[in-house]
Amino acid sequence: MLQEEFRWFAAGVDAIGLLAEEAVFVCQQAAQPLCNNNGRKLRIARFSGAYCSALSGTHVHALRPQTGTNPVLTVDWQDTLAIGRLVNTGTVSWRRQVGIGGDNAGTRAVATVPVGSDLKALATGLRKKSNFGSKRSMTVLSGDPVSGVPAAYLHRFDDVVTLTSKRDVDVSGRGNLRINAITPYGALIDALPFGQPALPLMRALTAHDLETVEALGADKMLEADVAQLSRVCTSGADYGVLLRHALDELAEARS
Amino acid sequence: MSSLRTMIAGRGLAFTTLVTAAMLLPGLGVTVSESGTAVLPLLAVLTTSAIATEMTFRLIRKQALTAHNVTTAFILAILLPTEIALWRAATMTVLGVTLSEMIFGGRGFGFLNAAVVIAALVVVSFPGTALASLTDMHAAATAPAVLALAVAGVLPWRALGAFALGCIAMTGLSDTITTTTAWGVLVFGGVFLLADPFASAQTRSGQVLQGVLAAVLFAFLGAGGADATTTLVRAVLLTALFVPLLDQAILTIGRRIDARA
Amino acid sequence: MAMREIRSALITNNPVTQQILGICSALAVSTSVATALTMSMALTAVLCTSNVIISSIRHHIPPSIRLIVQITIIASLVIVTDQILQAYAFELSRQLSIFVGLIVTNCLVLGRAEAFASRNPVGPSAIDGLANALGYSLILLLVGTVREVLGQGTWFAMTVFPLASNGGWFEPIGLMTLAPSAYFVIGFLIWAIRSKRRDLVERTGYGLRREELSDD
Repeated sequence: MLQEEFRWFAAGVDAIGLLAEEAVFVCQQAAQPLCNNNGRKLRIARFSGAYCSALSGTHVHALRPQTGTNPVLTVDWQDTLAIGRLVNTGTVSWRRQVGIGGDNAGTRAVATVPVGSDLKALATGLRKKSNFGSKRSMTVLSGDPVSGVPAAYLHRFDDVVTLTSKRDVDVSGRGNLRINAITPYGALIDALPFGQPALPLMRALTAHDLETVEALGADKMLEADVAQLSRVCTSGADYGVLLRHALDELAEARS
Repeated sequence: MSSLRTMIAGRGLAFTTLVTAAMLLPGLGVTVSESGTAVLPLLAVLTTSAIATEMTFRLIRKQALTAHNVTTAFILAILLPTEIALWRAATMTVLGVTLSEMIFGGRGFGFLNAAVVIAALVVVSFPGTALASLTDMHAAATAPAVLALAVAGVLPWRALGAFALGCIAMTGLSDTITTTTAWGVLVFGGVFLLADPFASAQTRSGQVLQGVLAAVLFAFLGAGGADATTTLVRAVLLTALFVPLLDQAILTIGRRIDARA
Repeated sequence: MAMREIRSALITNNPVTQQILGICSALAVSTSVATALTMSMALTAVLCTSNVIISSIRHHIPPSIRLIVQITIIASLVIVTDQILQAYAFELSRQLSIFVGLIVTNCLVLGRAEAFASRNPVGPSAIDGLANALGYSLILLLVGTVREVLGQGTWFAMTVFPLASNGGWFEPIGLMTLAPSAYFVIGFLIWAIRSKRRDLVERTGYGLRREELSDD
């Protein structure tokens, strides 16, 4: 269903390849390459497995760990499509394909919607059309079940919408800045991939110990990378928000 | 399984306290059956003073009232000698809970186990006080706790395992540990004093080092023939002071390795 | 002006609880009030005199060797004080052992000399020395009182709580006679002062934001 749009992907990768000074990695799950390997800089990398295998933070860590002097830029596939479309047709795409899923969504669906579209309307429309979702009260998350945030409108960088029952959202307390003590569950110690220390990072983030946050490699992370922590931790802190605060403050201090 | 996880995640700190307190009941039962009901007034005084201290601080700080230190009181009722003067137990409990938890902002914010600190304070403050000796029955009564805490996901099993292996290794290296070893102390203390999730290392390797260090210290501190309970309390307290350092060392080493790669 | 100086040095700018100076001697000699008082008097004498002397010759000390000169002056004063104590209060000077001699290295004395006396006139320097010495003495006496009463049941060797060993009821808390207890007492003092006077709390590099502290 996405084939028609997808022809712009290879063009987008080519365009990015022209701009990039060093290697360009295309990270994908499918065995079939998503684009032709015609540039010298271009490399295809395959990832599969658990949740974190889809995170760009994981890809960067595995392929070419970022350092202070060697920044790594990540471009998601929708933006790649948009770039490809722009350089080939000269028109900017304002549309975005969102996958819709979650325990309250009977079947998975894909919709092409404008950025910032009304999620409630989108979900209700889908429900009416095809028995979508159940009768239970439903919360709409912009983003996937792990990192998603309850929202009225589609967030700028999200291409997944999750329909879920309210209870699950309350448990994980997303968007919360008030924190309780961190209960050091064993699951927290192993929550980050590559054996990265999760507990020290969480403590440094909640204590605004920016020096430690930086030393623990937070400058190589995004909200999605720490979303798992907010989910497991009982302190109720939203580590995504805390990480964003810390990264902003670090960037400010550096400039 | 996922509903169990949700339940645990929903309860957080209170849930951990509840499980730990419930798992201390068999041990308390053993103490009562061995030294009689004389332990009950002590238990009452310990519980009152520990919880009163905690609640006073939370009142002053305008926080919701909690009673996490019920576990501290239960552990101490087992560790302290039954004949200890009640005012001594109460004073040291107030001082110990304040020093080990409330100074840092409450349970989960500090790095010390309140029961360990209080037991050490009692030993240091009142020379000649010997802590209770724990029996094999205490060890047996602790076994369900290992299972329950592991299922709840709050048992730092690396620290506990390393401690067990360390004790075995130390027995092989020196005979001091065998003369002072009491099963009850090692198992009960290992689970409830050393493997306290809030006082354990935050990194995987840090937990292993923590367990090993505690075993080594136990063997060395016990070499003079001191009683096993006091020795374990000293070893665990000394280890706890080094735990943040161990974590820091592990993180620094990890960073160096990353930088080289 | 002098009164304001002294009042400020007692609490707001107390050398021990606020500047965290002279901690080591505060630990060592505060096991009983008598030793604490003697130490306080010795330090007051040294601090006032050294501040006055250093201030009066401040224009003649070459900056490059000023620390050496200051230390020499302080050391001379300390030796004199120690000799006087040995001559007239031998028992006390034995209890204080090397700690009077170690006033030389008490960071409070050199700290005031360097921070104040070396760049201010004689009068204010004398007051500064006296004010800081009194602030130090206040804390030392407080800590000494707590430690002697709880650790030995006495105050200035007078019985406050009758000891159990002498037929009374009080069993001394052995911890209080050990050095760490001075840390605890000073720590609690600092804690109490700063909970009462929020303006004395230093800005922390980092910490939980207030709005993030939970009330649950």
